[in-house]
Amino acid sequence: MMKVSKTRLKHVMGIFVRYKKLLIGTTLVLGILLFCLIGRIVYPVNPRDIAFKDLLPPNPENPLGTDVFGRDVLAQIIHGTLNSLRVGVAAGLIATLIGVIIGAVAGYFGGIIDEVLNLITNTFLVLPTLALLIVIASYVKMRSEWIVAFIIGVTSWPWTARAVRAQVYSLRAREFVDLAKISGLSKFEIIIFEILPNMLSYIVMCFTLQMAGAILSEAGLSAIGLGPSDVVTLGIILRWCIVWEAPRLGAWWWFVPPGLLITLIAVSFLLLNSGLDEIYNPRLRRGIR
Amino acid sequence: MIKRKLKSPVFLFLLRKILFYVLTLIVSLTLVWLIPRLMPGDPIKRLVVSILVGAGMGGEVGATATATTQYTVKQAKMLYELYVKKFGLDKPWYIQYLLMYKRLFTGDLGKSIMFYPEEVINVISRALPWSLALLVPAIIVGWILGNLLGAYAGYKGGKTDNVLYSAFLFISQMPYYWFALVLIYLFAVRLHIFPAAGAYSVGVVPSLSMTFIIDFLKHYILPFLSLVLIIIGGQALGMRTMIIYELGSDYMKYSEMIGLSDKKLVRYAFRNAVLPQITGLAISLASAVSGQIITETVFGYPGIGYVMYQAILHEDYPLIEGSFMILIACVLIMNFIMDIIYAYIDPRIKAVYAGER
Repeated sequence: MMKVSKTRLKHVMGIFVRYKKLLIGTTLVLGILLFCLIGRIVYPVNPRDIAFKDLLPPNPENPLGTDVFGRDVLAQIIHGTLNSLRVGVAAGLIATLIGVIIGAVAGYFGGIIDEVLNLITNTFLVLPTLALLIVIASYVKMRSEWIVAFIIGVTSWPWTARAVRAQVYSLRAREFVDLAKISGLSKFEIIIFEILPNMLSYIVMCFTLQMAGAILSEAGLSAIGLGPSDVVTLGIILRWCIVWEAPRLGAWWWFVPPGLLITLIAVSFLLLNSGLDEIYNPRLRRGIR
Repeated sequence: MIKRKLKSPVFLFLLRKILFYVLTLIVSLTLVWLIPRLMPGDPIKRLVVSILVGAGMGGEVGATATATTQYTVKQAKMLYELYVKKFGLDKPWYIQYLLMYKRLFTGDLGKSIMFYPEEVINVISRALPWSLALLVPAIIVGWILGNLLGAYAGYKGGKTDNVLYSAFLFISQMPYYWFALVLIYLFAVRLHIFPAAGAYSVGVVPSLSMTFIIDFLKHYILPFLSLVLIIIGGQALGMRTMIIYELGSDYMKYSEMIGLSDKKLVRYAFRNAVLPQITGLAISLASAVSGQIITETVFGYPGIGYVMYQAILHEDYPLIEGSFMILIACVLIMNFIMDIIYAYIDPRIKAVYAGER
């Protein structure tokens, strides 16, 4: 028993060593998560408390200084990152779910259903999502982080739908699907129990991309004042930096960290995605050197 | 003669594209029409309230509003009925829907609330040239440089590729507006090389004089940089992957075996990899436009994005929707221009549509 799990572990470790992107991506994601979770315990400063002098540069008491209201920036970053991630995961899940349903139905059923769904997907791909988000969000007065996540999710599914459709389309001609048909499974049963489990890795990859996109979308929406109104996210911090013109105040400690973290989160999800891609798509492996 | 022309493959391809864009336009207009109607609350009431409040800053309606509340109620009711009639809300929904198209094609997008009583269409047409002046060069320059750099990284491989890949990845994921903040801090606040905001200095009148052009360029560089660098990052990332794909393909191995020179190989790979990048450009256009909305806001650059931002702040719904429609129209037109280019460059399109005949 012991021996089996040990070789298994070795195998997994081997994957991480061979695929550097996966290793770096996973480390970054875990690192950022730990930073928020441990940070909240080790650094129990309330991000909303106006407890300090305003615009303090980094100092022993406030490692990242304070903002224009006299709130601690590090505390805002710790809580903001976690909230941003939460919005990203929620929006990513919604987008992936919608995308998988539309993509799978279009790819498996084909014909007129495929044509129509494809048309809808392409239509949404051409539209600048943020503009659409702005129009929707401007009509919603009370925007909790869940509502923001929902709005982002329902506008960003087309990418996933397109990718999933292509995969399902190629899978539906395989023998195991024919076998399932012969054994009398319905079309939806085949999609759910036969096809989707076979492309689970692919769906996970879509999900990582959606999360990266959703976190950037949330930040963008927040930056123009349409973000969640009840929590601090990285985008909301940047919003304050824009409104109070942090660069002109010389407060680099205030506006540099949130943007850096947003970029880092997006990059690590992307690395995770292309790391997984390398494992499943040998043609790309030439890229690792 | 004409019949032959109508059956030409390029024409058929473009016709299909036009139909698609018309459909996209209809879908987005329907969304803009539908969203306010799906939201809780009465949009006309909201409009009337914001007009009364908005005009109160300088208009006579607001003055009376503070003087006698009773008069306001009467006036608000009048205004309410006026708008119900204007938007045709007393008519059945399908007529309302068709009326939207009529208003759109006659250029009647309503009056702006924050610039009351100016027409939305005027506010937008004033802002549009600034946005296009920023976006179009940024996209063209970003696309060319991005593809060259990406191809170089993919071809070189090794350490060069690793460094460039990491750089592209990081740059492409930066939020545009955050990068804008960093640029403002470095070049405007610290080094005092470029101004931090606006499209031209106060006191300088837009004209074709030398002073204005220099002043315009000084204001132009930072917003331009913040857009172009991120486009370069995204395009380079895509091109690098494409080149690696092409270099690993069978026809490349064959060409290598029959002893073609390296230079020729790279040229073949590049030509094949650049085609999908044109489609990639069309798609990244949407994200560039999204980024531009916020970049203009950060720089206070007087384009559509900034107008949209101000409209959001003032709850100027006619202006928000008007800007949205114009943005969509611009994106679709630019997409179509790229399709025309694509149709002429890619030989496969001629082949496919010729085969359908």
